[in-house]
Amino acid sequence: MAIISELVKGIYRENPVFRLALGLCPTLAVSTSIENAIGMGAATTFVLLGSNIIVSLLIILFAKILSEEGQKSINKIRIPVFIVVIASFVTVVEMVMSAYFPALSESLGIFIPLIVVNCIILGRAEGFASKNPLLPSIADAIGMGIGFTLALSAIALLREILGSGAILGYSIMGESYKPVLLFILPPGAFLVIGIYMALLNWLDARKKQS
Amino acid sequence: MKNIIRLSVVLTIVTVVAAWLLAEIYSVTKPKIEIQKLAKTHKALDYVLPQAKLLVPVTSQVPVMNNKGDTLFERQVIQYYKAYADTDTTHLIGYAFKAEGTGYSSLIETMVGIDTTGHITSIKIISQKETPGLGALSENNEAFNGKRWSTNQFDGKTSNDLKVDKDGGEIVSITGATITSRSITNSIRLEMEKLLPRLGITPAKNSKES
Repeated sequence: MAIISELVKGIYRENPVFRLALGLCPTLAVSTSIENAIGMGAATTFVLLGSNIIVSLLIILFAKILSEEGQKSINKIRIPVFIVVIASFVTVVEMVMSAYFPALSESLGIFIPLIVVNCIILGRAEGFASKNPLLPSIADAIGMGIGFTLALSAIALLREILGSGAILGYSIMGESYKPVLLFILPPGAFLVIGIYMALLNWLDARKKQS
Repeated sequence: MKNIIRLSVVLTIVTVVAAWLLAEIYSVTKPKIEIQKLAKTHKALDYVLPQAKLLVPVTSQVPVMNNKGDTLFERQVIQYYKAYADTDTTHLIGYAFKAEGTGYSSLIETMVGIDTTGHITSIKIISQKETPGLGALSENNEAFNGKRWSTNQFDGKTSNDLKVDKDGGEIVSITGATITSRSITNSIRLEMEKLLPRLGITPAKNSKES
């Protein structure tokens, strides 16, 4: 049961973008169209899964080979260690993908360099995987990945309709529609994220009252 | 003191292992990535000069020097390709070359095909890692409608026409990604200005009316 709750929490209750406000930088860049949102979401979920697994295993390894006092002092350098682990993992994924899966690399390749600086990855490694065993860490990664993808898609839906008059690249607003350029640019993303956050908070507040 | 030594030892081990792993995977994937790149170049050549049956690369020796200025060895670099309509070299129909420019966040490589009078037949972006949703739209090659960036808008242009609208030219730049548009346009122009005199295509022949 606990595993399922770890999985579900990332989707609504602790949604990385709307609740934790993590990974806003790639969110601004990539949520201009639904196609990009899904691509970025899939790539992030994959890297998140890998980094959560490695960090979780690394902590178990440290617990096995180090004394209690040693573990305490190692704690001071956990962040640089996580950064090295995540950056290496992302680079390995990028190299393997462009060598063996050219089609995949073509569609996801441009998102990979953005993932290195995606603070969701470091946030979950530090906030969850380093304090929890392997299985919950995997569930957390998948849940957070899905939550991130859904949030990106929700933002992208609004931005694509307003900013390009299209959904998934298909024009729906007709020829006469003049796209609101602002929504394709980063300020538009801030506006949309703000609107969604306000909406979610309003829903919560209403729930509390009733 | 003991603590500092312990921390540096652990951090050193982690980074050395990560570096070793990256080096190993790099050396394994490097040749595969080169092959994928070559296949991509060939596809791009086919796209920009579809009538060509035979492409002959024209190479030149570029000296590789050390920092003292001594020539270490000479490297063969492909300058451009000569395109022929048949499988022999009787009927020259054009040339193809690669233009490189630094965009907003990456090196953008473009394959350009020109006919024997110096007019662009077609261009194709080979590689770029610009912002998804903005600069990454540079790959768009749908029919050009005069309003949105498409690589098709370069067809039939000569080097004198290559200027983006922000610089007073007629190339429609990508909304929100002027730097990317300008980089592609200028890299093609510079490369053409260098190459056309070498091919014996004079400015008179290279005017708009011809």
